[in-house]
Amino acid sequence: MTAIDIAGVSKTFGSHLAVDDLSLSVDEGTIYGFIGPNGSGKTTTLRMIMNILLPDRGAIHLLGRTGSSAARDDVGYLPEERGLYRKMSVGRLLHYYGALKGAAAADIERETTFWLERLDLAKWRHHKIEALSKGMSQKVQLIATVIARPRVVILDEPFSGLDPVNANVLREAVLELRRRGATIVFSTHDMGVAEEMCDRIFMIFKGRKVLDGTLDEIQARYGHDTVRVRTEAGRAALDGQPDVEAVSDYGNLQEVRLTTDPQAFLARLIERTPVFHFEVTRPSLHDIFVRIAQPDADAGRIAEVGR
Amino acid sequence: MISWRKVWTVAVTEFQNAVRSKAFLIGILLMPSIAALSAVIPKFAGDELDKLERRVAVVDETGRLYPMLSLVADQWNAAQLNKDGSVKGPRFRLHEVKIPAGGRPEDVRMELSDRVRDKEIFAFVELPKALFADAPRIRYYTDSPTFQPLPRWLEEVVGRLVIAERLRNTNVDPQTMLALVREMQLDRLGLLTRSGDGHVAAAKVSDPIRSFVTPLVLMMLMFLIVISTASPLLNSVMEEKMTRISEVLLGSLSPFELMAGKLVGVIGVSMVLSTLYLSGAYAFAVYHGYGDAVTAGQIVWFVVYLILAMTIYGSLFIAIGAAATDLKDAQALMTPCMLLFMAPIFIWMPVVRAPGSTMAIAASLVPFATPVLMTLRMALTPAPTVWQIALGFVLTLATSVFFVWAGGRVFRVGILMQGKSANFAEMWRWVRAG
Repeated sequence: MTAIDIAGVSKTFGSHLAVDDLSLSVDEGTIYGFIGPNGSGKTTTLRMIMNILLPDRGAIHLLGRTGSSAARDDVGYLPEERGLYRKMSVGRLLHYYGALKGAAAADIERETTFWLERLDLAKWRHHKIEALSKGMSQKVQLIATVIARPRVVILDEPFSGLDPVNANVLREAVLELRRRGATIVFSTHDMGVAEEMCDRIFMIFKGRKVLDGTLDEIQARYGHDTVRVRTEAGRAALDGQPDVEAVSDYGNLQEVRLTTDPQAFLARLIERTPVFHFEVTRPSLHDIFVRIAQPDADAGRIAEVGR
Repeated sequence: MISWRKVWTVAVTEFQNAVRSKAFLIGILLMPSIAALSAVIPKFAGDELDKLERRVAVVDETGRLYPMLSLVADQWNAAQLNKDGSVKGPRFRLHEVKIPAGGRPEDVRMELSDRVRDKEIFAFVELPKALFADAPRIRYYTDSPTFQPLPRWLEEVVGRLVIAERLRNTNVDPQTMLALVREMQLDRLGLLTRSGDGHVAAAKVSDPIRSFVTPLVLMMLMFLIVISTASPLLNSVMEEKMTRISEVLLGSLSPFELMAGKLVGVIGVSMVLSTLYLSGAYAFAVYHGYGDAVTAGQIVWFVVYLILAMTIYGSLFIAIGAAATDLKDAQALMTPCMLLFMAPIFIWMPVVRAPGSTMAIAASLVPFATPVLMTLRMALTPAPTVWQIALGFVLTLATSVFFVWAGGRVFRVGILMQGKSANFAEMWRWVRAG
């Protein structure tokens, strides 16, 4: 079954076209990653799914229902900029947010206990939000999003601003939600997270869909023109090579996009410097993202991959 | 489709947030304390100031009035002392100043003015020869023109003395003379009423507590409850907007449901406050024998108008909170609304003086002022007619429905807007655009 179905949706703010003729289908039980540069239309799309903003054109079906807030109770939404009542206690806040989703008090209580223990916050239950650290607040915000056991969970930048430990805890929580059968849509700037967690990835750029598919499908479309190398000379070994189109320099490792056969490139590289590591690979999501979103991105190429 | 269960959930939470706060508890005690202090302090301070003895120079150009005036002043001063010798009011110590033979009155006035400036005397008064002529005028000189008891006393006493002097020529004995010019007393009475069995009840003596204090207390209660419970809505909406809580909430319920919940919540708070204050005031009134000062009908109308006022001003404050993006802009938007809200307080005095005047009737039918002014008028006599009460109710109800509708539209657009605050023209565009 399709959890979210977006068909030909557009949204304009004044003269700015924020989302342009967007279509997308999210299957139930999947984890769908939304990527795209800042201001590309991710949050607007998520707000339209939530019925917080209404599309100017097109239709959005959420769990088979359309055009109303009917499905809202089955959807948990974590906005990019979080808001919690500072003066409320953790437990009272979770009960309030759960009740707003129409959940029964006993169910809210059970979920509250489960998630507070799961995210190591049980002893903070009776503390006010203002007493919590930023990481703890973000965990509470996530619990508030899922307290009513929603069938669809929409998370706008759920891992931003978290230290690695807390980011891992939240990642685990998202996977737990999937195990429970929820459909999860989240936006992120962290390409590594998108690669690791998402069943499908969707990229929006300047309001238009430019990528949509599994990681394999997306990478396959960009071909095997990329190698990762580690050499004694490092970045300098790649200077002046005629078949190098672009280099992503990670310090000890360089990701190189080639215009020729990787074996011929390897032969020339060995002549210049000792090579410790050479790997023919597919372009990373990060690389693909940068290729699409860099300022001089080829408009024709974007149009082509968007089809 | 509106989910009233969600509206109720928001209302209960808003109500709990309000009544659980320390500010609420302090507010409950503070409001009557301020009211009591504002009544007691001026009285206490006034009484204290009034206990001073004022030295007054009298220039009696008639040559006939001073001895009697001095005598009456002594009687007055004696009356200002309690049995235990403590002072209860202002006393006037008079002494006569004569214009020296051949001296100029201007010089004497100048010298006395200097003595007033030097605080030697409080004031001086001239009783001109013309006092017995057709247009008698006393000349009272002071640098404390706001002090009223002394000039009032002089006006009254000298007036009586002049009449007495005129009567003296008729050979009436002085005691009889004073009795003849004795001050009148006026009894203020209500109207006679006829009961169901035809029995006519005597008119009751008008009582300032019933005729003046009760209406004033009801009006001030209405005003203070609305301002203290509706205005926090502005901060609550702004906080939710600034901290982005509103976006989380709008993921669960519609803007109208959220706004309606907030309104119901604060109306609940206003009901608690009015119950507390009205019961307290009633207990106080019963204790002092004024249990019948307010009728049950007045209380019912008070509650009805309170709900309508809370709806109008609550919607307005919610809309402003949603339209503003910082506190400064919110205050700028609030100023005209507060003036609108305060308007009845500026005109309550003329309404009390003439409750049946065209101005009082018209002002009490303006929906922004109806809750406060109609509450006031209903406690005054003559009370507003049934059609006035009905029309006031219908107009205010229609206005509150409009404000909820328009406020909902402003709220829906404003609550997600960041950056620049909207002005009233933009808010009106949002209302029309829908």
